[in-house]
Amino acid sequence: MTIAETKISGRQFMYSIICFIQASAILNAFISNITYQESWLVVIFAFIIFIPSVFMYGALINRFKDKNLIQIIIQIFGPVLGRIISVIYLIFFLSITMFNITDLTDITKTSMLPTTPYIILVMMCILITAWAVRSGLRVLTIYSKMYVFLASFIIILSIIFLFNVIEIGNLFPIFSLPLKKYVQGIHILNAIPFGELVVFLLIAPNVQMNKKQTYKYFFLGASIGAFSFFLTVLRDISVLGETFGMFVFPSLVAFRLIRITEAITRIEILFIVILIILLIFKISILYYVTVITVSQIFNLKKYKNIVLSVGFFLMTAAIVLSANSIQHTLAAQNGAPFIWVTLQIIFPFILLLISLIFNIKSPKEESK
Amino acid sequence: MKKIFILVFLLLCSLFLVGCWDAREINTLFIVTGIAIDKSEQEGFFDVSVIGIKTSPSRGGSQSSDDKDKKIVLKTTTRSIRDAFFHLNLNYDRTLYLQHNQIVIFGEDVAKDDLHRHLEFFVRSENSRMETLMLIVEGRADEVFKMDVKQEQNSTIYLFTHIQTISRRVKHYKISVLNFIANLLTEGFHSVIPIFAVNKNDDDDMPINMTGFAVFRNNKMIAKITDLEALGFVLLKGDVKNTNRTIISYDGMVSFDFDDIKTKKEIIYKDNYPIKIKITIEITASVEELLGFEKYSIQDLNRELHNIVQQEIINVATQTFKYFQELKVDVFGIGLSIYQHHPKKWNNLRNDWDNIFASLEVEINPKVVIKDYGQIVSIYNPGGVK
Repeated sequence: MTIAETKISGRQFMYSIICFIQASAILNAFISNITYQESWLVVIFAFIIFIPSVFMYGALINRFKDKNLIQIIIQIFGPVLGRIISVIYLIFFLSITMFNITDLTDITKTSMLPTTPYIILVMMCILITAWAVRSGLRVLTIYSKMYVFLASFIIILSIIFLFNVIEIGNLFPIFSLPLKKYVQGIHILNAIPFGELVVFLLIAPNVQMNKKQTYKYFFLGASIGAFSFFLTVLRDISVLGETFGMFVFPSLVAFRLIRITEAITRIEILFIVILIILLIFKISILYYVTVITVSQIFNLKKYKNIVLSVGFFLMTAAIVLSANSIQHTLAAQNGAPFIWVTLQIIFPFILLLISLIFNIKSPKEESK
Repeated sequence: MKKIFILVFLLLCSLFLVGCWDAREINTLFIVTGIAIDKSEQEGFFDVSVIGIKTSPSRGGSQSSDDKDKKIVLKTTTRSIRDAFFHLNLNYDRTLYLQHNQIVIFGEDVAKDDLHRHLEFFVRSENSRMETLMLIVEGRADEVFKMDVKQEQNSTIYLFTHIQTISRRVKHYKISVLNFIANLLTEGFHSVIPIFAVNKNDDDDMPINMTGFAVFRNNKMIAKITDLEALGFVLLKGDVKNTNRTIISYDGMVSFDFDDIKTKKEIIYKDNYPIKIKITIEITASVEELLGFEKYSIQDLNRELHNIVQQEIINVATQTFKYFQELKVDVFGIGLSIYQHHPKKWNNLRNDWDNIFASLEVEINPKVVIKDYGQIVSIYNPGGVK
């Protein structure tokens, strides 16, 4: 049984995955000061290493067709242990939602509203996303296709506009860093943004797609998203050179350099607008997933009633626990990936393994 | 009912949430267009001057005579740039607005001392833009703000327009804060910044002249290159759309336009150690002015001019390269090229690169094509000009 009754198409699911990764493109600062000008290489390696995880997610979705991640955990581990593990996932979903709210407010403050109080920005974000979450998954994902095209258009446009300041030499040398730097960079990217795709295991039961389509849409979504991320990193490094590792938002600095005669300047607003749209979309998905997890843990029949309460909690947590950009980046580089990867990749793998060994399937699958 | 509630809520939102905290009315802002930084007489202090434009309601019709006085210059002496802005904001009725700053000008003394400490603010500040241009002025930087420019609203807008115009031909004339910082951080590479001199002759409507480039070793200006070396630098750097050179030979005088200058560098190694650099300079030249050379037929003239220009390029480029070798500053990115393509070799060279660069043998190979002689095909010398 799924708490949310609405169904979305496989394509909408795919576009949502792309949007989700594109929204994380601004987070390239997490690896920029670790792997510097070789970050583009790290994006490629990280995605190649992540590909088996995509198929693992697909296998889990196909094995438990009408169950989301929390329901799978409860089915495999039983109601008590399953709920304890689900609470850990809840904390994880709350953390990444909060981190993304912080990202959104940071970029809004840096680029547009420097003196607007943090609480107002967080409140507006929660109000808009709560509205979207209450409207259901279909409404939430309906514009994902448009966002993907818009974001891709802006990325391509920015590369064309920045062509006169792009230095291909900035992408070199390659393989000049110590091995542990590559490992750290790949590890971080496997946690943020690729590993974050684990949240789609909570949406999957509401997607109309067959077994083959599950793999197809998940893989295509992750690949296109990763390619956008790669293009963004490639653009930022080739434009910013050695300064790539210096900035909190390298893409914002790169966009500020666009100058096509006197007429086309200061178009970073395009980037900021699309980024805010993508981040709102990502936060909505994360918020939705958090609400679904709470409902599932407490066995609620409707999730809509708790949307605002969870939102209020998120708002309070984001305000109280908000870190400055350095703390945020350090947390994303040193602490979070180690804990997160366990929940994003290792634990789902254990779930799949147990379900295969003990032949556990959803009742629907067993009846086939 | 629910829809009406949402509508009322949205209307209230648009009324109350219109970004009052970030409201910036133009009549409360001092729009900074240039910043000049000089050493103060007081040890450890700096004179920071900012120039802005006076904002006033727009009027129809032609410019009035008082439009000339639209510039405002504010000045303070502090230990840091941030302190200067804090002090100026405290003592001036408007808030300094940096988003439209076009240029940061450093006095020669500051450049020779430590440029890096002043750039930190521009990199860190969310109000500053990294594409802001940088330049050095011979003597004091605040002299620029005293210039009387007739064409533009103030001297920094004039300078900005000037640099934009000349950098369309030679892109190396345009160095932004981002470029300079990136160069500082880049291994095996030193930077140059255009250097200007204020013209103190009141009768001259060209208030400032570009005199060459200030050469930096890391964050300190160590030398100045003018005329010949400046041309040599441009030729050796390559990626130039257009520059020119007048050459006087035994047979006459010829002015060339050099278009589409492309430079290729090949490093020759011996036992993983660079010993020689071969620089190929490809130029498409056109004859713009030609005096003398009467004794040559058209065919011989072409060959002679070709020889003259090739020899000139070899002389200028070699001389400039040797000058930079004496300074031990690699502004051509030879070290950078080794770092980018042979990082393992670079690890062994990194610490002693300045000395290795100074000992490199250089070979200049010009490849010149004279494609244009203008609209006359014969030698113009009606009066027998000598």
